[in-house]
Amino acid sequence: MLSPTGSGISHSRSRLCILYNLLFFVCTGILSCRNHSTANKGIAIGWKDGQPVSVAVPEQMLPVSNTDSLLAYTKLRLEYSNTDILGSAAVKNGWVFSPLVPFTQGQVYRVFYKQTGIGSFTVTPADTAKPELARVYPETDTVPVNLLKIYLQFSQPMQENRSADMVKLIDNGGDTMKQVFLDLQPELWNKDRTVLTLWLDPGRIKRALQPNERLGAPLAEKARYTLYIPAGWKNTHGLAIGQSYRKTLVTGGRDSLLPDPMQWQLSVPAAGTSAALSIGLNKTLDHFLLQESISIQTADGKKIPGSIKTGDKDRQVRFIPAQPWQAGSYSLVVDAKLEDLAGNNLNRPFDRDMKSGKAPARQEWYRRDFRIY
Amino acid sequence: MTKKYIYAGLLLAGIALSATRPFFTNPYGFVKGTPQIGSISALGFGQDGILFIGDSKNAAVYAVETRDAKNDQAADIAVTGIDQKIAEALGTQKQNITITDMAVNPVSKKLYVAVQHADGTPALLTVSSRSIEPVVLKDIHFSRIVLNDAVAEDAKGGRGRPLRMSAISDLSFANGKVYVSGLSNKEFSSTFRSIPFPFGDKQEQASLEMYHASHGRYETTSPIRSFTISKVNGKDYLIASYTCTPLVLFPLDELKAGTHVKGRTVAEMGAGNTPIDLTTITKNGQSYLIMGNTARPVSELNYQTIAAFEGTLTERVAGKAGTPFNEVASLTKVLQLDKLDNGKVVIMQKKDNGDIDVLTAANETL
Repeated sequence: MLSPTGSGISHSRSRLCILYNLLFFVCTGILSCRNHSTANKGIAIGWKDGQPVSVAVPEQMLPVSNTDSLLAYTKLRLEYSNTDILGSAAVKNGWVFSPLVPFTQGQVYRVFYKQTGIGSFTVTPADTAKPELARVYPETDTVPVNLLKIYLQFSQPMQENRSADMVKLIDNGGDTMKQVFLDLQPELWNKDRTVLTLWLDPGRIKRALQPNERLGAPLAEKARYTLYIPAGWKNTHGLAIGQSYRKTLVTGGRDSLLPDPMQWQLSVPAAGTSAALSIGLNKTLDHFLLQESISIQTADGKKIPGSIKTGDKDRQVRFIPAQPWQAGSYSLVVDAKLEDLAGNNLNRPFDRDMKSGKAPARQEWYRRDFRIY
Repeated sequence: MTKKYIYAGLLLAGIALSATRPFFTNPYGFVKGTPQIGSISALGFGQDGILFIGDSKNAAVYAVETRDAKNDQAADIAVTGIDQKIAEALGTQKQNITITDMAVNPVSKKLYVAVQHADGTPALLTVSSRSIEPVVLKDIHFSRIVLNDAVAEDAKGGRGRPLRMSAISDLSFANGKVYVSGLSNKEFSSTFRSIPFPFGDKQEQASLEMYHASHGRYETTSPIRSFTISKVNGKDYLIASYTCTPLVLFPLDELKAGTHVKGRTVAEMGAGNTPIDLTTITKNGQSYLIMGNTARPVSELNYQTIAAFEGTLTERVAGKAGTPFNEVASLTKVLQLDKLDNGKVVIMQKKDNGDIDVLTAANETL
């Protein structure tokens, strides 16, 4: 689609140059075949990893052919702005500009040579699947009153720094609760930006700290809350989640008990089978820590190859060996950093009453032996 | 005659070599290239105007040669609506950018501002009252240290298991070391590393778990939000502010690899607030710790008062907040704060209308 504001200026060019031009725009056309842009004829957007990262204005639209002049005086600006957009320019079969950050979808950009507008373009959202909020952890509805963490798992990499506006905790009276989540900068995302960790304000959970004494704990015992995430949170390509999300949370009592592997229920399979070793955890533990905190080792300390699967809303773990079990002695080895929903780990409670006299443990691993017959 | 020419030639070659020698020295072990920086969470400056960039996404710290020219006269920086101006310079709208950190190069007095675009792309800019310029990060001299890998190596040596860091919360350079605090996106723990600079093959890093006691009753572990290294009573301390508000002192010489250090809570800075930046300034001949806060005015603690507060872990912190501190009522919602020079600080502040301004304040006015 042509923008009404543009004015192309044509110049005579050699055949070779036209051929290169055609090749260039065919190439960018292929790169952008799943994406759309609205621009003056000939202006092409370059895409990389689904992001609009460059623009190429063809020679015939440029008022001069001198490279130095083009580099010095050709500028890109937002519509209604006099600020030149920062980025790097090159002259190669036209003027090619790569902005410092990708173009924003839906925004109108104008190309100027000195003060004369020579073209414009708009990048429209890529035609791909909308992101979804795939899961929220904990998956249980009942949580301890000193719940520390909530994980949001998305189907696609998401835009950061949106949680303060997008995640609400609503009390039973329908009021959105204030200062419940810790405002962190940077937010805690996994590397591919699909899992966000939210902490309920630890200063309010920890007893005797000022926020706790002034505002009280974020949650009350035996109360009902709704975690609400409205539609609209965008992925890194600018596409928004289409549906809002609601999850009910019902609080129980305070949990200050450390997860204790010695109290877990082990269902030990028979030798010669590839059946899972099933471990009942007695309470819901941290979904993501569970997957990296537990291993099965032989008596001489070698890790058994296999996979860990969580179940029963993270109250159970199953270890499936890659090879059939052999009769003998084994150890369930658990990293001390494994936490429950209240942030108690194997060494220490989330906050320790020093008057209780018991010093926190300093172990890195906890070991529980079992035999396969 | 020929010999004379040869000697003259050798002499000239010698002069030429000695003249060009500084260009071949590489005291910091830099390589030339384009660092693949995934995010810019924290900025800090070291000797010779070397810029340290904390990259949370890659759990790495980059040391970058800025080549800024020396400048003793710091120009005041005042920009209204800096978020709007940066957004326009990046070709987007202000809701699509986040200013993640800012720091002043003590050599050039230039203000460096790190920005993150909504899609995650980082940008590094310098900001003055007159202009916003990009910092070139292509074909530069730099070095890099990967934090998580390094700790894994430590673990092999029996000095503690790896504590992975998913977000760098602060970074500072002091006494030949880069100090980095980090948060995990899984366990509720603190990682604090001291990394000798220049970065070496053998990294001597400390992974520390820190404890602080609140009101002498409960002992808790917590991740550091921001920190500074400074002297109290002539001794170097890590002064750390926490995600759950206390301000805690740790003797720097006790922070060694694999140790568990107990800190001393000297103040609590209040609820619903994130301490953003800590820095030390001098005014009227006395040293002050200045803290920028998101939900409270800028706080100011006199180092003499901090030194005099000898509360121990088992004593209840008296009064409202332990060590008394002043609040600068006009400086609320401070997002970033750094020393511009010995007499001024530069502040990034969110205004009541939602705009973000940069302003310069003389130390005496704080």
